[in-house]
Amino acid sequence: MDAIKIIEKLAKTAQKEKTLQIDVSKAVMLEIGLLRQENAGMIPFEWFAGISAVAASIITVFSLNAWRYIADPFIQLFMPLQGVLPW
Amino acid sequence: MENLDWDDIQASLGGDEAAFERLVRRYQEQIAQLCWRFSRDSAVCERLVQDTFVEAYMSLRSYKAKAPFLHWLKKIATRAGYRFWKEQDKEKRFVPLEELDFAAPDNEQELEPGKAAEILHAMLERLDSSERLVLTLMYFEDCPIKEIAERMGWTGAGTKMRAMRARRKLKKIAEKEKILEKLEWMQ
Repeated sequence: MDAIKIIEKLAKTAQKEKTLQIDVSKAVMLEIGLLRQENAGMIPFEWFAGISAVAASIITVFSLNAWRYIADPFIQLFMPLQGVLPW
Repeated sequence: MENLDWDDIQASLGGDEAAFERLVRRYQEQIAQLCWRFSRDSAVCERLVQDTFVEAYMSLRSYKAKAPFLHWLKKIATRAGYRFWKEQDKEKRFVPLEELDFAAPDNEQELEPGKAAEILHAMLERLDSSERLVLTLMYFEDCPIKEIAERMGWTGAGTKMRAMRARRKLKKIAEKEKILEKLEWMQ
C-alpha cells in the first residue's frame, strides 16, 4: 500500500477522536470585561480622527495668513542695490 | 439556530454580555475540536479557544452574516492556530516518531482514534506551517481546498500547490520514518 493511502486511512480514524470538553465562557467574558475596562479610558478612533482634522484646519488657516508675510531673503539681499545694478 | 445566533450577535453589539456568553457556550465545543488540531496540549488548546472568542467579540461588528456564524468563528480559530504554529516555528521541536505506539490493538483492525491522531499530528508537525495547515484541515476536518483558501485568504491555486507539495513531503517523511512497516498490520 502507498504511504499516502496509509496516512489517509490514519486520518479517517483520527477524525473519530473525541476531543477535550472545555468551558471557556467565564474566562472569555472575564477577558472581554478587562479589555473593555482598558479601552474605556481611550478616545475612540473616530473622535481622535475628528479632533486631529479640526487641529489641522486651524493650523492651515494660520499658516495661509503667515504665508503672505514671508519674503524671499534672496530678493531682500539685492533690494538696496536696485539703483546700482545695471539689470 | 441561525436566527438565534443573529439575535444574540445583535444583543452582544448592544452591550448584552450574557448574549455573547450564550454564543460562546453554543460553539466552544466545535472550536475546541478545531483548536485541538493545532495543539494537543490541553492548556494551549484552551488558550486558543479563548483567544478565538475574544477576537470574535472584538471584531463582531465586521460579521456580515454572509456565512453561518460558526464558519466565521472557524476562520478566526484557524488563523489563531496558524499564528501559534508560526510562533512555535522558531523553537521547532518534534515528537520523535519512535516514541509513539504503532502496535495493533488486540482483536481490532483499526487503531484507536486518539493514537491515530497523535501519529498523524507528529508527522504533520515536520512540515512548514502553511503546508501543515493545508493537510491538517484536509485530513482532520475534511476541508476542501476552496474552504481552506477562503479561511486563510489564499488563492485556490496557491492552496492546491501547497497541498501537493505537502503530500509529497509527507510521503517522504513516512518513507524515511518507515511508517509503512510500522503500520503494516493496517494494510
